[in-house]
Amino acid sequence: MGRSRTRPRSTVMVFVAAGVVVALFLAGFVSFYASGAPDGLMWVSTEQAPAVGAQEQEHAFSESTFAGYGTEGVANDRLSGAIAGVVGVAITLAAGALLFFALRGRRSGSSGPPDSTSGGTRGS
Amino acid sequence: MHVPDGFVDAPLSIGAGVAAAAAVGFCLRRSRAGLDERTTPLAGLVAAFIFAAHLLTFPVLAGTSGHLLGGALAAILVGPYTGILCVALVLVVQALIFADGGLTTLGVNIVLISVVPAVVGYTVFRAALRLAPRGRISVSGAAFTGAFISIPVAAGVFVGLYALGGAADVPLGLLAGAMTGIHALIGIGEGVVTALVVGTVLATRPDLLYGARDHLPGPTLRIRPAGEATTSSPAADRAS
Repeated sequence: MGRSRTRPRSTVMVFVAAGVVVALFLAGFVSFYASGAPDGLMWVSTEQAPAVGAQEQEHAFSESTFAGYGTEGVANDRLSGAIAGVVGVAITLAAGALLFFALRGRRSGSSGPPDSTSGGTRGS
Repeated sequence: MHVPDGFVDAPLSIGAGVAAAAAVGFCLRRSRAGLDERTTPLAGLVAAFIFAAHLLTFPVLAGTSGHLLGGALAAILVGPYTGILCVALVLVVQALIFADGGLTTLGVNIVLISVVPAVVGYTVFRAALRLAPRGRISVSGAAFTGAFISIPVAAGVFVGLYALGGAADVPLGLLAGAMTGIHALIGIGEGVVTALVVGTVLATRPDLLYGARDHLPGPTLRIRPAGEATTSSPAADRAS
C-alpha cells in the first residue's frame, strides 16, 4: 500500500525542527549555567572510595579539539562551551538521522502502518 | 555515570563490550520494525536532545551533580529498541569526540547508561501505566516512576560490574551504599526531567509518544490495524 497520509510526516518534521532548536539552545546557551561539580560516580570514586578513582587513566583523546566539551583555541569559556555543545548536537543529529533512515530504508521500501509489535500490549 | 578508562579490568571491559555489542545488534534488528514515518525522524531528535541534556548538570548535594541519562525517556518516546540505540549513539559521540567516558569502557557505559536504564525505565513505565487510569497525568506519572527507578538500578549494576572486574579493592558495601544513595537523589532529577519532556510531547503531539500510543483516548491516537482502510472518517473512528 502506498503512503496515503502525507500530512503527519510533514508535521512530524515541524515538531523535530522545533526540538532541534530547543536542543541547540540547551547545548549552546543553557549549558553554560550547568553545575560544574563532579557527577555521582566521580563523587563516589573520589570522596567515598578514592581507591576507585585512583585507577582512572587519561582518555586517549583528551587533547582532541572538543575534549571535555570545550573548543581548543577558544579562550572565552562561554563561546568555547557553546561551540562544543552545538557541534555535539549537530553531529549526534546527523549520525542519528543517517542511522535511523538507513535502518528504515532496509525494510524493503515498505511504508506500511506501524507494525503490530510496537507499543507493547494494547487495550489494557 | 560515564565510567572512565582504567576503572575496570580488561576482562570486564571486553565482556561488557561483547554484551553491549550484542544488545546493540539485537536492537538494530528489532528497531527497524518500529521505525515508521513518525518514529524515524523523531529518533534522530531524541539522540540530539539527550546529548544536549547530558550537558545540563544540576547540583544534587553539596559538591555533587547529576544530569539526565535519558534511557527511560528515549524508550518512552521512540520505543525501547530504538531508544537504546539513541543513547548508545550519544555515548559513542561523547567518547570519540568529547573524551567523555572511556574508550575501553564504552561497552560498560552502553550497558550502564543505555541498556539498563532503558529496559528498567520502560518496563516500570509500562507496568505503572497498566495500573493507572487513562490520561496524560498517568502517563507523566508513570514516566517519572520509570525514569526515577532506572538510575539507582543502573548504579547498582555498576557496583555489580565493579565486583566482577573492578580495578581496585574496595569494600563493596560502601560502594553500593554510596552509589545507590547518591543516584537515588539523581534519579529524582531524572524522573522530573523525563516527566516534563513527556508532558510537553503529550501537550503538543501525543501521537508521537510511542510508549503510550495505546493508553490515551482520542481518535488521533488510535493505531489502525494493518488491514483497515485509512480513509475512514474521524467520526467512524470514534464510533468504532
